[in-house]
Amino acid sequence: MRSAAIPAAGAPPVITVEHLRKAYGATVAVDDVSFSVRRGEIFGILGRNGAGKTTTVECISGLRIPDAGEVRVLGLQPRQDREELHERLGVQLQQSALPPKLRVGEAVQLYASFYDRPADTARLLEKLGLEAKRGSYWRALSGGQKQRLSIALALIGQPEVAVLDELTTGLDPEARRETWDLIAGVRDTGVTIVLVTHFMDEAERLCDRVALINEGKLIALAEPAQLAGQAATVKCVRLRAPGQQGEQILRALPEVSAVEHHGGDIVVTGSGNLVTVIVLALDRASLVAEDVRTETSNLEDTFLALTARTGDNRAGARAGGPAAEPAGP
Amino acid sequence: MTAATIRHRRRRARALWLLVATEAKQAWRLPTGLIFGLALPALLLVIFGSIPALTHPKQQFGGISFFSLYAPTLILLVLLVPGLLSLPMQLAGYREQGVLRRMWTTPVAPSFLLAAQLALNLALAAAGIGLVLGVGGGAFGLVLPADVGGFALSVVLSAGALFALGLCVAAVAGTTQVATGIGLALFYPLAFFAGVYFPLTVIGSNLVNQISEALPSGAAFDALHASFLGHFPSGQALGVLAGYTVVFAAAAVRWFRWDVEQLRQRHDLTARVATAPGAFISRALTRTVSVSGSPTADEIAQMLRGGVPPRYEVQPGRKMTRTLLGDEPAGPDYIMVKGGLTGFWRAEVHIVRGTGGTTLQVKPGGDPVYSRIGVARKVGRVLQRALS
Repeated sequence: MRSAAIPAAGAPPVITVEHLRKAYGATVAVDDVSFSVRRGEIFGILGRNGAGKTTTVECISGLRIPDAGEVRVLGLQPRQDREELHERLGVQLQQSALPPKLRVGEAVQLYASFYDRPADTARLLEKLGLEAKRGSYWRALSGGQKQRLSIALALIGQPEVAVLDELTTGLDPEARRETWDLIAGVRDTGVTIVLVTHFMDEAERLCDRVALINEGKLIALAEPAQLAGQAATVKCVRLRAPGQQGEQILRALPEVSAVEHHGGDIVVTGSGNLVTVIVLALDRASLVAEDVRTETSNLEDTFLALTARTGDNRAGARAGGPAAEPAGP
Repeated sequence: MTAATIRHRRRRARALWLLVATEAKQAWRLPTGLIFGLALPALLLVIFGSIPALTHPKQQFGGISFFSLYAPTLILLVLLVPGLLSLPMQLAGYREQGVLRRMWTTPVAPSFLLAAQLALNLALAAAGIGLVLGVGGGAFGLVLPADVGGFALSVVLSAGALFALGLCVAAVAGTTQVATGIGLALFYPLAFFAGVYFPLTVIGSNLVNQISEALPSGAAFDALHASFLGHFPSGQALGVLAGYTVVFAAAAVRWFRWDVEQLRQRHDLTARVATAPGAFISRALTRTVSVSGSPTADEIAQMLRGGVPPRYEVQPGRKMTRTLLGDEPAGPDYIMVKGGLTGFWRAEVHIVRGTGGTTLQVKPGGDPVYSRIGVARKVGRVLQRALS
């Protein structure tokens, strides 16, 4: 589904974010985040709940004033050039409802009137599979239909860039897949998309590039495949537990960093040519390595590894703090 | 002006018109505002106009009939309901639901929606005034305002003061429920000083008159009353109304936020001060149930679900806050029970685990007095029966 033709990195970026920082009281939501989005790509902003993703896109949309840093969208400043920017930037935000007794057709017509060059409302509704729901009230729509109407309202001004926040949260698997196809279709019409999500599969499936945000900080920025590859340096091998003696042998190997129990299996993590090393070492002790499986890393592993690592560092720093202090005379 | 600018302005005007029309449709589909704003004054008009004793001049009312004395009150009622209740409830609701946030992300500012709501409610008020004067004058012999200019000026300034106050409520209230609460808390006393319950002249107290003159509804009553009698309203009454209009409008502009989160950050202190009396009453009305053993919050929630009528919603892990922003997630030892259609009346159960055993504190909220005899009493009874 990913298009092979990602525009050259040299083309001027559609969105640039430089050293963005935003704090709410004592809580720092976004801390020194920088990235740029290229024209025509699906750019993913990925992170756990509360990582600072929404704050980042709210700064891009002009809803929040950054404490520090620069944001430019299509060369415009989100706050100062609000009106011009929103003619060209479509936004679908989390937790944005419509009045309960507004009909789908009325909503689309109303929001179309806000733009200088609105899309054809009938065709847009048809594209989003909502033409049969024209006369339905907002409150009578299902979760998936509400989400599709939200997308319709974000696209109604025929924007060059669309920001879509937590698009598939709360949708059933089928509705999610339909939404994904829809987004890919929108990108194919030339719209640049910024997709905020906490689902790894969504980012892996749709995004050309992904920014991984954790605790307000940008911790990785790469193509999903590359990012998944980062975890590949750490390999996992799963096999039937070879008994006490076998485990001791494995732990003693220089290539092995950890051995963990998972039910009747053990999971060996380490680096190098792990499978060969394990099989040979067990064979030397006349033990058989049974049910050996390598576990390929995907984006989810990377995500967990990277976010856990930053968490561990902090815990370690805190725990190590007093011990690191020089002893008194 | 270039052709493009003219086209742009036409489109914006069309957007505003479409917004007003859409808002009007919403109001028609959920007609609470219409019923209270128009039907209630119409009903009062018909009742009071049909009772002969009330339409004869009386010495105690300064030689005019009760019905004539009540006419300015009816006009004020027509302004109070949309200004202090409908407008803030709608706007706070739109912010709570994220409608204003969504508007922000379009080229049209959320102020367009605010303007549309204001226009709609002012139109409703104007229709109400037309109804009172037309039906009252036509069918029930209501003497129409003799000083038309003074009447028009009084109506404009009264609407200004009351609608600006309503916008202040919309500015600080984080949810529809809170807007309803503050709106009603202002409505009842202001309606009193507008003479809704009985004419203030029957009290005949100087102090009450002085308070009345200083309040927007009292000053509005004085101005309207004078214009009905054929005098130009006093400079004092008009000055008070103009002053309130300016002050409330400035405060609303200063405080208004499009987004709940921004409101939460900026107005926590304001909110706390404004809700302090309610919080105090709430604490005073808290009742304790002692428990044998140490039930978990989930067990208690289960008990409540089985015991209270199904219209109540039991939510473990939530508590009432003193802020104007409704309830908040809390520790596992809190359970919230919301009642009624609006969820405005509510009770909170706090499980206190001490060394001497566990006690449950049942605290009424929303309108604490009403909740005490309603939802909190039911919750207390269910717990009493199940646990003691």
